[in-house]
Amino acid sequence: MRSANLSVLLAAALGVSACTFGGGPEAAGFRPTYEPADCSEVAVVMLNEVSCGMLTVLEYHGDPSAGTIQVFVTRIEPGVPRPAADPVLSLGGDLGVAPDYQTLGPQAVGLEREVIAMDVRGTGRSQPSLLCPEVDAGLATPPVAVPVDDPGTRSEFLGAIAACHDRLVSQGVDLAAFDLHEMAADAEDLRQVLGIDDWDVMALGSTSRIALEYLREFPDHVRAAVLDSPEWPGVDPFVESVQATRHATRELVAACSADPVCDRIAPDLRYDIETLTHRLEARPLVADFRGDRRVLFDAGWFEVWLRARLSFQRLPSSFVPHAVHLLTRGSDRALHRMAFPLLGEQLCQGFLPNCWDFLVRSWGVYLSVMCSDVLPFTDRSSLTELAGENPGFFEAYVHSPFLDACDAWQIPPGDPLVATPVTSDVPTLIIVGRFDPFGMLPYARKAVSTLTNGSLLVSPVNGHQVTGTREMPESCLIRVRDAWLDAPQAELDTSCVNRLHLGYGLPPRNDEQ
Amino acid sequence: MSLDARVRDALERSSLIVDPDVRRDLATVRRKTRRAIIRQRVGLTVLAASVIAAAVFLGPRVLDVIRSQRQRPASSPSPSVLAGSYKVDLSGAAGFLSTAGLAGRWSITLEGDGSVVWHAPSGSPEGFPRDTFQVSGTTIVTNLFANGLCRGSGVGSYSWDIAGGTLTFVSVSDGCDLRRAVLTSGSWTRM
Repeated sequence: MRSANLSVLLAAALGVSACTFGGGPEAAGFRPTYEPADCSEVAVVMLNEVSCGMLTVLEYHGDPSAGTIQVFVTRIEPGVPRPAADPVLSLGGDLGVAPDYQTLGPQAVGLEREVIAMDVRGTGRSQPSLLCPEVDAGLATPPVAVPVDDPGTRSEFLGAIAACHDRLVSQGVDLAAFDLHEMAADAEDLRQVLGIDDWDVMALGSTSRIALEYLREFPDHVRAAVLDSPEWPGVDPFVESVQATRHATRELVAACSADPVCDRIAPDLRYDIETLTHRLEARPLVADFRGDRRVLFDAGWFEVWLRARLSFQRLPSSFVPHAVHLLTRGSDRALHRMAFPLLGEQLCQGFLPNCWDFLVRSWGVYLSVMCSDVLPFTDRSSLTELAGENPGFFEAYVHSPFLDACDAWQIPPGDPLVATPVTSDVPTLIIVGRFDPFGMLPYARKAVSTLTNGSLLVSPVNGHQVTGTREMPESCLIRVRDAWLDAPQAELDTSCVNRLHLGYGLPPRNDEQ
Repeated sequence: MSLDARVRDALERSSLIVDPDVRRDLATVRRKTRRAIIRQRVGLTVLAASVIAAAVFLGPRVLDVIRSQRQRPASSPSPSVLAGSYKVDLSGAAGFLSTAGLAGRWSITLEGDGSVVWHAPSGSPEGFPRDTFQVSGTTIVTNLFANGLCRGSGVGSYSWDIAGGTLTFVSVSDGCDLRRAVLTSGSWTRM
């Protein structure tokens, strides 16, 4: 009798315990924690006061039994006398790429706000890391030495992805946990654990997918959002590779013909591009470099080169029209200068944005999001038709080895909801470069229709990422962004934007050669 | 008075002494029993309250500890374990390193984000110091020198040990002899 009473009491106690701690967003007793972390590697590249921490979150926010992971966070002080009350959450550059702290430091000053940078789960200093040294190692045969759709390149590239997959899985990493929903939930955990009432969310390139998911799931504490060169839910990046490259090329042709200098340098730019594509298809050019390094400049690699160069387009000038003009006329010197940036053992430039040498890319994060939240819910049937008569598009993008990467990555599809358009009334600034071959303007125009307080800012001089890649805080578009963030409901003051002009007569800068 | 009568009288007096007051004693017993029951019930209630309090406040923590011990992978891949700068003097090295002009003082910096910055001895073939590595448990996987000395060799896998600021690598598998020679020909000292 006595033991029966005790059992009832124990059961009641456990029931009380479960009711007290279960069922909430943190689920069954788990509370995210934030502990200080070593900041020396970050602080050394910044002039700002910074502090760092590790956010411990559930691997799956709905399942406390799945364990925890850690997300590295950097808090960057603006160093101004009276910073705004609302901090900015920065989600970094592209999926898998950690925040570029050297860029964020000066930008925090211009924003006059604390910038809280999150190494998205699996990225940078977050643990576990989904780096793939196997993919970074490159290919035994440099891909640029053979056609872009070479079967050997494909096999080796996919083999490296499979090797990374197998290693990470054998080390206990659940690759399916690195999806957009979990990343958005990490951001919300961070806001709560830091005790922030309202903040602004800022994303560049493909990390806008995380920001948009955050707006969908946790809009209540977002004061404003800034999406620079966003990718949109439901848009197939492979279809867009053809569409956006073609769109950006058309924009360049139009801009060139409207500019007296460019029109004189390359009076038939459109014709030159078409002619060059077909000529390179019939007779590829070969550029040899020191160390037995070779670039086979055929139609496929020309499209890859063109897309990469368009994405890097920014002030003060574009050398692309002049280069195309010279290549069309068989300039060997131009060939060597244009082919040189393609040298490398990786497939990155022209396939993914922001293939800067100084950025470390967690391929696993990119692959998990693509294979879970993007590609299972997109229609690629139009890709062949879109490529049309252009052999370069066929080689580079219809036959892209990236298309089969998910077969090697082997994770199940995510929630289809993630691929649907986001409806939100949070004030949102969308910044798009006119020449962006990765996130083209027409998609942004369409997407902004579901963002009821969305504003669109078009840079007339940029390709991909207008405000993120080592731009100085005083540059016009960054000033427009910062002013908008101070008053997100006010009309954009674009007076300085209208005065921007891309030159065409200057030689390529060192980092564009 | 006969002896028998005297004994009977004495016993009768004695019996009067031990004659119990049954009614009074029964009341006493009932009172004591009631107290014992009350004490027992109070004790049980206090015990139950303690159990409830312990379950409410300690239960989730205990469960968390159990879960964390059960589910967190012991060898979750992370580069930060080895983060730091290291140097080694391979001036006296023979074989591959000497032939390739790579004997001399080396340094590497293993960053917490998984990137490796390395400095080869002066005069050695130049490479692109932008490589990556991953650490899991006592294993490190790296594509060090993949863009130069080890082009096309993929990654190398090593076991590592660090003691007293000295880092040593033992090759597990690596198709690049030069990388293996650089990493394993000496002990790396933390800078």
